[in-house]
Amino acid sequence: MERKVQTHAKAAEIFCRDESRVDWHSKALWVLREKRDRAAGSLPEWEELRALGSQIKLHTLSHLGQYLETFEANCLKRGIQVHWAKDGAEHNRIALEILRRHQVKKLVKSKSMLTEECHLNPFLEGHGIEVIDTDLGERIIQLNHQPPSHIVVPAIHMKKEEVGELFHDKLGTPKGQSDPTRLTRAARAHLREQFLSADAAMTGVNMAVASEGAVIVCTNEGNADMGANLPKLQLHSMGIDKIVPDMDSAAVLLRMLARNATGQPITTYSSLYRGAKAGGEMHIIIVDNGRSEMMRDKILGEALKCIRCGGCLNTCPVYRRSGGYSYGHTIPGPIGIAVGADEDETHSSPWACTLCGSCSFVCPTKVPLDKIIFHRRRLYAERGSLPYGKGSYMPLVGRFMASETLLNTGMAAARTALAILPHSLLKPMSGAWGKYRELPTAPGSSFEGWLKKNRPELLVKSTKNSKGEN
Amino acid sequence: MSKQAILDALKTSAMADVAMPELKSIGNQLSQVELESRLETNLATVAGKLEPGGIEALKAHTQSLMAQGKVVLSLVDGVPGNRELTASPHALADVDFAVIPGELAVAENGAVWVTEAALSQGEQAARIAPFICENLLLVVRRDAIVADMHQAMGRIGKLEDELGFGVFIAGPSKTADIEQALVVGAHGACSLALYLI
Amino acid sequence: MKIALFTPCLVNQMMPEVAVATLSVLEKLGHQVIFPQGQTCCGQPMTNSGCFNEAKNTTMKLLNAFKGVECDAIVCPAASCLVAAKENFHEFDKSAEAKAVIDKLFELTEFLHDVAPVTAFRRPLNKKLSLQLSCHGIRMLDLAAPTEYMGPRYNKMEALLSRIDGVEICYPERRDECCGFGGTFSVDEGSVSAKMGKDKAQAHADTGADYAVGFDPSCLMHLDGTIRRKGLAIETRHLAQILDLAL
Repeated sequence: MERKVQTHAKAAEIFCRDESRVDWHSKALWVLREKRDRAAGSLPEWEELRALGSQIKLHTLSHLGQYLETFEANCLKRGIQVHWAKDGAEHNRIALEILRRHQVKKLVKSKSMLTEECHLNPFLEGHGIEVIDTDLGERIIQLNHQPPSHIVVPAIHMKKEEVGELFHDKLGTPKGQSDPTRLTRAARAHLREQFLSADAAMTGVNMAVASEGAVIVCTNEGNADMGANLPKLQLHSMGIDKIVPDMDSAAVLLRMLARNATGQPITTYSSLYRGAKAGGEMHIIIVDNGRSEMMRDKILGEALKCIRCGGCLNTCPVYRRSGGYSYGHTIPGPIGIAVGADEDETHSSPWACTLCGSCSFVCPTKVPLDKIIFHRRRLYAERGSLPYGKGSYMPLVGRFMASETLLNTGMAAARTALAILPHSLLKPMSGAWGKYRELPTAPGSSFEGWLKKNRPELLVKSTKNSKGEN
Repeated sequence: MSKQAILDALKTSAMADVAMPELKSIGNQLSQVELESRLETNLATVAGKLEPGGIEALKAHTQSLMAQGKVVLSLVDGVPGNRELTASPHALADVDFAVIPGELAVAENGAVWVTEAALSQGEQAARIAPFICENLLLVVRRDAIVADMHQAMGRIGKLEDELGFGVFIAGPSKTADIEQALVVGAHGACSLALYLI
Repeated sequence: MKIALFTPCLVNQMMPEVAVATLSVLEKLGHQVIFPQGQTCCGQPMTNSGCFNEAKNTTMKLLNAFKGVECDAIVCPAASCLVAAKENFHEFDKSAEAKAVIDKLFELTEFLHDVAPVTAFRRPLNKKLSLQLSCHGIRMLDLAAPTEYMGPRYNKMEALLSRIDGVEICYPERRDECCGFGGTFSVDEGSVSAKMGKDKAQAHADTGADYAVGFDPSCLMHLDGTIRRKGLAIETRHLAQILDLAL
């Protein structure tokens, strides 16, 4: 499960070597984007909902401390036990302590990107607790010893034949069986046994309703509910950013979540847990893990408006062609760069983006993803930790571009030869460019040169710029 | 201790103060005919089915299921079943059909709101009932169809004090986790039919 | 109107034919055109890499080239550069003089659609055109409603071109998916950029159009390099070049 430390570009280059697989991956995700377009387009009020979603989240974030306290107080009234964790390690310790107190041997878990972020599974397994991921996609990658490659469809990178092979190995399905329905039936039977024999269940949280002291958990498979409603003990882990003020706010977000994720009008189950079952215990772990720090930067802070629909991954032309494992962080794609870039040791992930802006327009809560990614690049530049040699060649490019003389003589030379610039200046123009594309056909002169020859009367000079070169 | 640390950290937030938007005006008003027709359409898109014939049809259906030897758990008054709730939720693993009352149905997405109060029988209650059954038969009053989630939340309103669990159920459980191929019947019920009364 | 031409360095140095066509279009429409000398790069390659310090000099020189120049509008035939110029001018200079320049900045399509609308074309053009909806133009300059957006539809390039007799307009599949140029992205992320370019070029070619037409020269240069590498049966043209044929 360890990730290789390599730049996004390197990982993407490896992914791109199998072009037919890239096409397959890109298409599978584009189908989700198309379904999203149909679902969103079917609501005349879609853009109004997005605006409301954004405002609700911004309002909540700007009063987050207050809402968290209200949420906790309402939970306590309902007998829910609330825990606070400042980071992933504390979250894991709290979870372990609760599970130990109940002598839990087997924990069934439903999808939670937060517990991925905290690396809960290996931690609990290290302490002798068996953890079963119960979302089909999550179970597939767990059996395959991989992290999720997508936040909503975690096994999107695997072909059905590969899942068939894996299930044959691990679940004893017939060799060569790759029909999705049959494989899903096999997983249902296998996971049914797990649900019935689990000692505790843990789920992620889609929304935490402050006014009610309730958490809302959304799944299509019913795995969160099959988990939480059987054993006596149920745990729910949530980031501090999951708070919504009230049920009306939840309605706005629920109308967009599934439509934007998969094109469904709503997930099959949107469950509201607001207290333990008779004779049971309900715990909620509220986790910060860097979120409050992000909110100290008002641009980065907007990333916390995200409701994890995955829509930005599906539309991202780079994600679709480089795969979820090309990013050096838990959450891939645009939102992953926005919230997780610091995890990437190569500092390259903010550059895995053309700044096309499609993600920001897809986003149901208007997270300005392209602006956040752009901002992350600036933060790296200010810290002097740029990837791809930019730290050394960008100053040269800057000087080159700012000098008319250099630009004119350099580009004139480029036009004649397209090859005699010093390497540092050549890099943006050739190298990878020439490997995949023809170099531009060189015109005879610059436009300004053409004007001087043919229309000199059009040339004027600002008084501000008469000082010449510096 | 971490609670205070988190709350203190949030005091240094740079997020500008934004007012809570007005949410009451959004949403649609629909006639009863439109409500029912949209509910039927959208229930179909989430792989559920609106069954005609109301309570009588449902009774006949469960009778015939029981005659075929199926295990039927009915939590709807007047609809017969052959299975009782017990103290163990795990014991419901053999239920073939569960008949469960919903409080309201949402036309825009086919979802039915089911609460803990409906998931009980005498002293026994089982939140697991609508999930663990092989097939789910839901019953909702015709006058409890709302247009959208805004109206649904408006009706649910400030949650009743005793409510510990409620769920919107939109169709049978499903997954598309293997190559995006839709498979109905993941971990929850494999089919869902809705009867309006 | 009196128009100062803003020709980004890429256009000036590598695609002068786009600037020549822009000049011709504006003059045929009766505008007076001038060219302020001393134009440098808008700073986008640097700021897109986070390097604001490195961008400052060139951005300020470009801005200064327009300060005090007497004109009604500053028109640029490159959407992405125009967006960067606007943002970077504001980033480095918050003076009233800078604002006066920023307020006059228009991308060619928006100028011809919104500011001084072109209503009629003289000559028919019997060509099939596949429109290249470049990202910054549509998502940052509102030149067309992006496909993600569910509000009212609009498309300024299509509106202009559809006024030419004989023109048939079509779109590539995934009509406004990025072509993968992205400035330094094309070299930093060569593999993905090339794949995006290839997919986009192929999608344009698959329409059977004569030309892939757009408002962003950098994307067109990227597509052109890919089209020629692949030997696809389509050519790229800037919007100005098409309009020039019809005026």
